[in-house]
Amino acid sequence: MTLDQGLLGLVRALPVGWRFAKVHPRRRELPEQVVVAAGRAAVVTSFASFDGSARFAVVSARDTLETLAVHLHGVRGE
Amino acid sequence: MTGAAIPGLDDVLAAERPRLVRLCARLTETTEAAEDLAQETLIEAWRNGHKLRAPDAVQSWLSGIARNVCLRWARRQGREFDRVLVAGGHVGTAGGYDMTEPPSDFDLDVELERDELATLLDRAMALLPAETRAALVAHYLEDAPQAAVAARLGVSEGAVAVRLHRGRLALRRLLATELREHAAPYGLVAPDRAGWQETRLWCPRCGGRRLGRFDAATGELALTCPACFPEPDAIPDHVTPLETGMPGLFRGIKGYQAALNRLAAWQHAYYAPALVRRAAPCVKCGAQVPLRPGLSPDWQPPPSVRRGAGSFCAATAVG
Ligand SMILES: [Zn+2]
Ligand SMILES: [Zn+2]
Repeated sequence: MTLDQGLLGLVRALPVGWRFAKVHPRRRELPEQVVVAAGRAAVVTSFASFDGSARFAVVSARDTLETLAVHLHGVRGE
Repeated sequence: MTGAAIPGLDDVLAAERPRLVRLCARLTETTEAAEDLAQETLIEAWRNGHKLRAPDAVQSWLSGIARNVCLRWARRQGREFDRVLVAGGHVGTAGGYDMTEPPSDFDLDVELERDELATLLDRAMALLPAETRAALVAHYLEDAPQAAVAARLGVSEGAVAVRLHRGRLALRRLLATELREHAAPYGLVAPDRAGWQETRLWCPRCGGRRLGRFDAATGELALTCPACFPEPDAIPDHVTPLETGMPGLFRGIKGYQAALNRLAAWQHAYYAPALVRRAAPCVKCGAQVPLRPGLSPDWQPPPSVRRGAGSFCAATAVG
């Protein structure tokens, strides 16, 4: 049996991802982007509120999926 | 100046005040501003009384206004920021935005869900004949045994049983007819043939409402969107105990939002250490099995994952 977990699900389950979802229950999940971050192959997973006022992106290492950076824009604190 | 559009709105608003104060206190996590924010909510509601389409939905309408008032307040407080956090293995706290606290079952949406659900049941109960209502309240809400209810109402136990039975049927009928529109988002309306119920969750692709199938007893949760996934077999989000190894994952959970929170908490608890250790416990026997993060060439992701999302990790868990 294999337990598979998409990166999207991992990011959603990060406390910061979950918080974003809580503040913006109506949000878009944007397609993953492959980038190079600090010389490493990385994947950007991002979410945006439907009104476009807030964005949230997690940069994960392509090979290990470890979180390299979290970008928040216009996200309300709680 | 249109507050008089709904007869009796003033009285309703006055009666709602204590609930709104509590709601604003929860939303802003401060009690100091709650009174003022509730007042602001009531004023806005009164000004916009003519926009209230369904007078019987006044409570959820007010909750919506309170939410907006509280959000505006949070903005005025400067609780906005724009920054990049560089994580050194883990993510910390920034700008009051707690990044480490795992999701819990206690959160505002869940509370609102419960609050509105209680209100809805109140309304359904209010539509029942007085004696049916008395039996239901005593038995279900006050947990009184049938014999005690019988003694209190001065009728036989058999009569109580009949009233309870009729009451349950009547409630179900009300929730499926007159109150259907309000009951559907709480999963109180009988599901369609394939078992899907309307939920209060938004689709992250099209912004419409998602459909759900949820069974706390079996630990199964499925979410889909009829607009984005018209093929009945393409279920973008589907969790079963086969994947989590936890038939009791959703024990005690009623709503979809609460179920999602529980799931996120589990996923985080499972994968956060797993990504560091590169191994995860087998969901069946607990033995550590290697986690294979990144693209797996031999893995066929479900249709939802294929849509642009190519990264995932796989823990091969053998029983
Ligand atoms: Zn959709
Ligand atoms: Zn095993």
